[in-house]
Amino acid sequence: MRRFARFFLWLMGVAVPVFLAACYGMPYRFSKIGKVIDSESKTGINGIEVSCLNNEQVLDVSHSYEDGKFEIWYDQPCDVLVFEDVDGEENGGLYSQKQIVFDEDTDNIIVEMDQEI
Amino acid sequence: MTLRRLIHPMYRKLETIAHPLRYLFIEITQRCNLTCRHCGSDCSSDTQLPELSTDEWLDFFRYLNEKTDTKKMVLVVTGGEPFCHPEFDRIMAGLSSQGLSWGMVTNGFALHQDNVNRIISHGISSVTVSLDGDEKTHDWLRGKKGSFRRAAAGIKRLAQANLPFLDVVTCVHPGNLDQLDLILSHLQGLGVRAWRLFSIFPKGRARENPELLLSEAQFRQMLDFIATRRKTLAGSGFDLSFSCEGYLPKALDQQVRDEPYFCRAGISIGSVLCDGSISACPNISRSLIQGNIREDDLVEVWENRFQAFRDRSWMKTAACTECDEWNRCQGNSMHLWDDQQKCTVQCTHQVATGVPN
Repeated sequence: MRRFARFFLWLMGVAVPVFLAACYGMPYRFSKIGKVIDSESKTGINGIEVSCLNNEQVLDVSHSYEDGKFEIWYDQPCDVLVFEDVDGEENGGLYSQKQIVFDEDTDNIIVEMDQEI
Repeated sequence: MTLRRLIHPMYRKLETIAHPLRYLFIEITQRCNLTCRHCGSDCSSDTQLPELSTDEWLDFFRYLNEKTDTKKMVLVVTGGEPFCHPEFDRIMAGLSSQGLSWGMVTNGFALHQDNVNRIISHGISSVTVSLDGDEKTHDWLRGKKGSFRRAAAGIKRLAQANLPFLDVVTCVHPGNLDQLDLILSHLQGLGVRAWRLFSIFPKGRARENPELLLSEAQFRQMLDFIATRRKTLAGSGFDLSFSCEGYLPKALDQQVRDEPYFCRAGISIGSVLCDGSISACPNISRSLIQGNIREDDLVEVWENRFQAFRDRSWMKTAACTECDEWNRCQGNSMHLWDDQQKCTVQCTHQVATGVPN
């Protein structure tokens, strides 16, 4: 019964975000950290847009920092993370969009992105 | 009505069945550097309870790391005033070394730069600070001169530190009800982006200070303020809302909160009190304590006890017995339950509408 309830809670996560803030408690959302790197040089890429999607609906968007690290905040797990180079040739070149399956149990996601030829 | 509000009753039922522990208060001390007139815990500079030692807390953090999925849970350090714990540094180091996500609730009195640096260095991700009016009103409520200036300076430091989450809470009472616009502009000036308002409820020290309680008309005035300002603030990046406490009529709820009312006490919110007691939110009646980490296994207690929180039919007493709102309200927020009267101390739905249910 609890497994069934948890599965449906996960499915409903898009429509009913859980922004936790109990009476006299502090606000909180859950997060996942990772790093976007160039597939050849293995160096971090700045300014990559990271979107957390569930059923094609965007739950959160963030951008990678100078060293390629990023943090995404979510209420319920997303199903995919989409990485997009939104600044074109700036920050080391133009990279192809990449999509990965979101795994809530994986820490420190490392994503390699390829430069467009 | 948005889809999320439409399906929220179903979501609430599922979360109650699943009852994932996601938000755990840890009341590390009842010591406090202020003597707030409305304090729900009746805290003071010294503690009356046999508090857990630092080593016991550190053992508990190790236990959490081993027995729970720490990635799906956040710890809320509370008090008393957490900075009054004599070994707060060891507590924070224990939290971060066990990989626990944590935040804290503070009165802001000790938020000088060194302390802000300390909490950040130990990986804090969320802070809530209280600010209750202009300088005179805040200092009066908090029982100490200078508490406003220190809290405001601390809030500014935290805003500049760019934490993932920072919000300010204000306990609304007749003495600051007309200062809400002033507080709003002050907070905006300090760089705050989120503000939650509470009303003071008649428990703890507030029970002896009835002048702190809003009348029904004043309660509605506070809700009107929130609803009106939320409209003007929409899209500004500043979030204003009424706290999660208190069931309200559906249309009004939508105007004053982002999320529909849902008292998650004992459903996804738990607490370990300063003496090791296991409960839901810390301000809930001690008669509803479910165990003690000195003797019991928290996970086992969470899984197998807490029935009183997940089936609240026992709270259907007094005016709730015949109330049409029962299915949605479920007896109002758990911390408003009065053990002596055997009913909620305040029907916020009735206060908001001005009409007996």
